[in-house]
Amino acid sequence: MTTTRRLRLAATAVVAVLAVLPFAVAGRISLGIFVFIGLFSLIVIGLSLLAGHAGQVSLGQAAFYGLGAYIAAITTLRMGLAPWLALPLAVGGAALVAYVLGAPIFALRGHFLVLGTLGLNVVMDVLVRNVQDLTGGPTGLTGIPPLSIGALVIVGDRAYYYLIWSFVLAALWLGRNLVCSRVGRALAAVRSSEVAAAAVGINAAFYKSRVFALSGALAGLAGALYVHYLSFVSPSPFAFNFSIDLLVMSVLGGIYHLPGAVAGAAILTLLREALRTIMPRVLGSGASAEYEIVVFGLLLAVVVIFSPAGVWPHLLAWLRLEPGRSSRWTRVSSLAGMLPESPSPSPRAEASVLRLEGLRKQFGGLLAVDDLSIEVPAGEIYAIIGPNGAGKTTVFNLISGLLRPTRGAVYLRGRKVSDLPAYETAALGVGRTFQTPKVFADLTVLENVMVGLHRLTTTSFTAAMFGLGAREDAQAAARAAGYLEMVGLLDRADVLAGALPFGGLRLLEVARALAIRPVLLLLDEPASGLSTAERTEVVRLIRQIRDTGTTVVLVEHDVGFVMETADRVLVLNYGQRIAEGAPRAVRNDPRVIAAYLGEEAAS
Amino acid sequence: MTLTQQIAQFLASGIINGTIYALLGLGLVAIHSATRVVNVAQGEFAALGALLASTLVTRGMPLSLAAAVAVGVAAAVGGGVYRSAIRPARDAGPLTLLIITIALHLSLKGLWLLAWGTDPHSLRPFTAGPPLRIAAAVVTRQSLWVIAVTTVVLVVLYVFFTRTILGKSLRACAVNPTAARLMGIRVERMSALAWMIAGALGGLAGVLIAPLTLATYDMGLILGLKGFVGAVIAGMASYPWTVAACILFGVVESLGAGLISSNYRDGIAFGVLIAALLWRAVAALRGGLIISEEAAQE
Repeated sequence: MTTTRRLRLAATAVVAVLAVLPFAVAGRISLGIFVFIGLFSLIVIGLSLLAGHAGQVSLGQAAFYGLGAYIAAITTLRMGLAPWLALPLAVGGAALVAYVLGAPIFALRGHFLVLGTLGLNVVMDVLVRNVQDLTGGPTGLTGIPPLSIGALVIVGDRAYYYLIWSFVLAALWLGRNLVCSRVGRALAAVRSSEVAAAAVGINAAFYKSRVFALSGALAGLAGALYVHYLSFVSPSPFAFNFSIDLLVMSVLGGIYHLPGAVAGAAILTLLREALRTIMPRVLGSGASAEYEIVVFGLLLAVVVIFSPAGVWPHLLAWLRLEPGRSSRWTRVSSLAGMLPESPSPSPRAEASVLRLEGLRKQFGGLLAVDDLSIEVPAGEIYAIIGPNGAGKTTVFNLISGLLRPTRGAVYLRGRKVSDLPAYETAALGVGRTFQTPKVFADLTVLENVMVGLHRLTTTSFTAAMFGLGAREDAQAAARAAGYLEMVGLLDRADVLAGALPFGGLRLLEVARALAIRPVLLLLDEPASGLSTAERTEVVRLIRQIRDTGTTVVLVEHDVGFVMETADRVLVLNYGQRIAEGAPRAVRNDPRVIAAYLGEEAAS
Repeated sequence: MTLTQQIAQFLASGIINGTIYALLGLGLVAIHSATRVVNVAQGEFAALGALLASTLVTRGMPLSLAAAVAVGVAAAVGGGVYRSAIRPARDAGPLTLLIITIALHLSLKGLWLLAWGTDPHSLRPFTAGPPLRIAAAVVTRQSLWVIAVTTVVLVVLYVFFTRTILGKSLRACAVNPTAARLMGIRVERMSALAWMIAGALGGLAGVLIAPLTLATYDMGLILGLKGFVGAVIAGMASYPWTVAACILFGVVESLGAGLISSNYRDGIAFGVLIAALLWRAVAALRGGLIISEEAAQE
């Protein structure tokens, strides 16, 4: 039996167990515990998407849970809104607050969301306790109507059990679709290297803030379901401590696997029930709830230090259900040979593709680039050479928008790009590779190139959640395969990119950069670390790229390589131009020989 | 009390609270600049300092010695935490490190609970005597101790960071760890030192504040977070600006709580935190610096 079939069987078995569980436990355990596990699972699925896939932590999910709860309670109780209308309001309200908070904070690199959400949680708690006219203060609100659709009134443990677990399964389905989509690949790229993701046009903050809004929406949904289930709401379940519990559930289950969220919610909820019976016996009665934090804190520490991926991978391994690397693109990639090569941008009549005007970059007291002005016409192969520390890579970082110039400007086809963020510069057609290749190691070779197609594909966040991008994905895979064929990596398409040898990494970066259909391609030391055969292949590839109409600028130490490929050469020393011209002329320039080629000429 | 007197009183208590936040904020900045870790557990050092000093004094130790022991133990715990929990995971990425500090917060708080229980502990003021009147405000003698001791600490830190090789090495690690390593600085040791300094500053904050409030096992989180507000406003980088921002924040919090309602104290405090984050984010967006210079060189 294949792993895929076994997984499918296991999933069916889980759904079947969920379906009969209310009947199996009847009279023995309160079904309420399983209703709560379902509610917590909803929230933790959102939190795991955020932590495992957007790489951000929230310590305020309890606030969104509370926000959903109070929106549902207040609109139905005080404004007489029908509960089924209040539900989307609660979901939307929580999502909106998350988005408004997250969108700006994600512009700050680093982990500031954790502070913002924590603050939100405290502010929410203070408001709910003090705006008594609206929220009922610390005692809360009672008599909230149950959910009803027409004459059908949903009441009782069993009804909410089925309703809530249906939402859990739906959330798992939506989350899985998202992770396996264009958006999911973009998120994986950002996790792997935010810089390389920006270099193919991905705006990390855009997707992070949407994932955060989704996590807010799921928590808001759980909150609304909670108040209709219990018909009662008070501030205490939504305090900051519960946000920590939710994070523990998420990390315990495993943030990289969505079903882990359900496992984490179940383990922690059942553990807490167990502790409530064991603790008083061990430590004597009183304050036992306080001691829970000791157990939870140590649990979190142990899991995150010894098994950062949580218990889910161990669970799968134990059930011998470890999924192999998905090979769903293999069939598509075999089509590559039959597809016409995607059209490249046609060379235009413009005088210059790239123009630098008085470009200067200063790092503290170090002048890395000193008033550099160059102009590169369309269709040229232009090389920048110079000794170590001459400012070559800094020039690339300035052109591609990773650095802001201290003074001066960069123009692409006459348009000033030096004030744009890197992902916008990439979207305008500046592709690049890095001196130390930055591939997305946990995506396959083919998927890496598909990420390069990000700005040329359109499946939106919402469409991706509903699995609507499959057709476009198949086309993208075929186009990506075309680029892999061009660089000679097609036979490695389904290998994880991290497993490629060094030369393969360089070629993969070129394929990924070509996928954005660059007007201008920046290659940072394309030949370094390559074997002679690979080097010859790269020379051929660069000429081929130029012949399809892309202008190439490259930085290289290997002077022989430059002489062989470049139409024109710029020699930099201490950030200043010391010569520019045809390779042969530059080579014989006395200033160049003095500054740089001296040893070369002597040998 | 007239309004002027009230405002003077709020200003005074704001400055004193802000001084305590500054001690915590400085520790946070030290840790963040040396190890790029946002330490959620910072306030636990303060809880430890407060609880330990109270117990030692109750057991008959002279206050000055008890304070020194409490600060020393907090520093040792800071270093120990770095060695046992942070350093083993230093290559695991910032997300894991952040979760580890959350786990540390829970575990340390749990430890304090096991050791000291849920009852509040008190510590007598450093010097006895009636409160003093300064301008229109009435100020306790302990408050003056808070300000005096903090001022001395700031001067010592300033000298340490600008006049000693060790302090300069620590700053070098914060600016560029790779270059610092190439210059022969032992970055691991500097990171441990940063955590020890943060532990000591946290412990000192606890010792200073214990006579003003009370020492409880769960006092740390809120204190640490308030230190964060100032540190975030100051950009998590500059020591003097962190102190200024923390004191300003203490004053805003105190005025807000006093003039609106003390029920809203923490709401106002964390509202300011969110506003500070949004303000910094908007500034970053306006600068167009989505990818920082540090990231470009990663």
